[in-house]
Amino acid sequence: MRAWLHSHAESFALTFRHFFSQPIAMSLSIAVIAIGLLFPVAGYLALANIKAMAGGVSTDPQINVFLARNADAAIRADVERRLRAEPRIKRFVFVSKDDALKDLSARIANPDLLAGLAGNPLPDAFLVTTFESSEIAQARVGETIRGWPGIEAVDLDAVWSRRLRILVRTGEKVVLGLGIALGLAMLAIVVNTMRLQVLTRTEEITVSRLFGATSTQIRRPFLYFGALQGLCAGLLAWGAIAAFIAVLEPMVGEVIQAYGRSGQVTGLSIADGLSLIGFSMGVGLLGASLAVRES
Amino acid sequence: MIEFAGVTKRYPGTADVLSNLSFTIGKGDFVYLTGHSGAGKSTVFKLISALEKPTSGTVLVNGHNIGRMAARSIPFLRRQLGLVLQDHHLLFDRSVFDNVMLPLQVAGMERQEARRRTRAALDKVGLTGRERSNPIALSGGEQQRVCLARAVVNRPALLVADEPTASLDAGYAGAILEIFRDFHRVGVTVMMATHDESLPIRFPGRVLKLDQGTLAE
Repeated sequence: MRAWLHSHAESFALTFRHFFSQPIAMSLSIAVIAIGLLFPVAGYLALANIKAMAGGVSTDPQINVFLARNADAAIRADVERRLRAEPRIKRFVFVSKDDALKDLSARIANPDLLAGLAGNPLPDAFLVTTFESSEIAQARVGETIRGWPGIEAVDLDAVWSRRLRILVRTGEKVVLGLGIALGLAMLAIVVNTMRLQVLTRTEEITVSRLFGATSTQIRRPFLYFGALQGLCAGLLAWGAIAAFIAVLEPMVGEVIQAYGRSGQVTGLSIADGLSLIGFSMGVGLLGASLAVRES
Repeated sequence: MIEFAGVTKRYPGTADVLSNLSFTIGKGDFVYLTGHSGAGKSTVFKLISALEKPTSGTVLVNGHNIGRMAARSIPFLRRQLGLVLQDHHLLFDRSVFDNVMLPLQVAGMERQEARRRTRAALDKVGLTGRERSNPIALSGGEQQRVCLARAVVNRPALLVADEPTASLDAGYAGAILEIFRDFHRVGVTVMMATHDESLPIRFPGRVLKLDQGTLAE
């Protein structure tokens, strides 16, 4: 066990020595890998922020069920009971007219405008989500609800939500495609860097083999090297994203305010950042393992 | 320690490099393997160090059948051998000390003990004081001593050398031979491939003469 640990420690020390022996070449390789990581991560963040700024609503299509202005608690309870009994409905949320007014005043740029109203013009409403998200299925459920007593109007928001959903899903596919393409590019960069490392250390590998080094011992420093390269690239990409968001945030904040909305640009969470580093190290490790497979 | 029984080695597209070769080297022997260039000396060396496998016949080294050894077991056999290579194979990106310590690092030896043994090996070959030098700054004879120190640092019972004096003048060659003999005196089995047939006369030992892949006498 001690010899095994010692062997790993030696490999790690060797990796560090080689890693810092060519600082310029290594920095360039790390920068290229980090740039490769930046594009899909930036796309992912852009999508996450678009979703959040679209009002924090789900992209699942909803049916807005507005009760009649004079609907009392009994009518509301009856509608709630019917919604609960309807098997095509996944979930629903009641939004009282008071809550709706509060939400409206929080969203508009000049809340004082509402102060001039004689009373609350908004009705009580239910926000209904169906199991099936297709327009036809939604229309059928809407038609059913429309026939219930105490219902003033049923609004299918399928059109705008469908557009947003398509936009977000397309964006997700683009980001995924970009991620795969750049992931492969990263892999190629790591394999190439590692092949060069193997070539420059051919003599060392030959001598080590002659004196009893196992294939695992030969490969280990290269695997550490790939993982270390991935770690540095992941950290660099995370730092660059954080810096980019810090620069961008005031500008985006102004745009959000101009639309009378509140909110801020969100960056990578700790979990996201760690995932980014994990992915980057994984690619580094895979690239190194492919490069030294025949060594 | 070493047994060749009816060994033939043939590379694809060539005639037999070794042909039905048989010999035995016992514990504590000092053996010269002589012959002209192309006689098959290096092939014998490669078979002993498991760099090659015999086409037919049996090669036994420390009881291990080279022809039947699994690839994963070969490194552990090599750790039992002291190899002195014809082309030195010294690493010029590290010091003499680190070159000599390499087999101990490969074996996973604890650093302090490895350093102690490395100093002892360098002392035995007369290179104390040159530890921090880069091998490229040393003479041919000194480089050969570094190779010898590297071969014996893991205290092998069998020392196998391929043309260790080939590139040295007579004075340096004699000094290197003396070091080999010192190791032999303390019980190390030595097998040395050489094309210099004057060496066995100056430093007596058992001679195996190869001629076109077979034993000449």
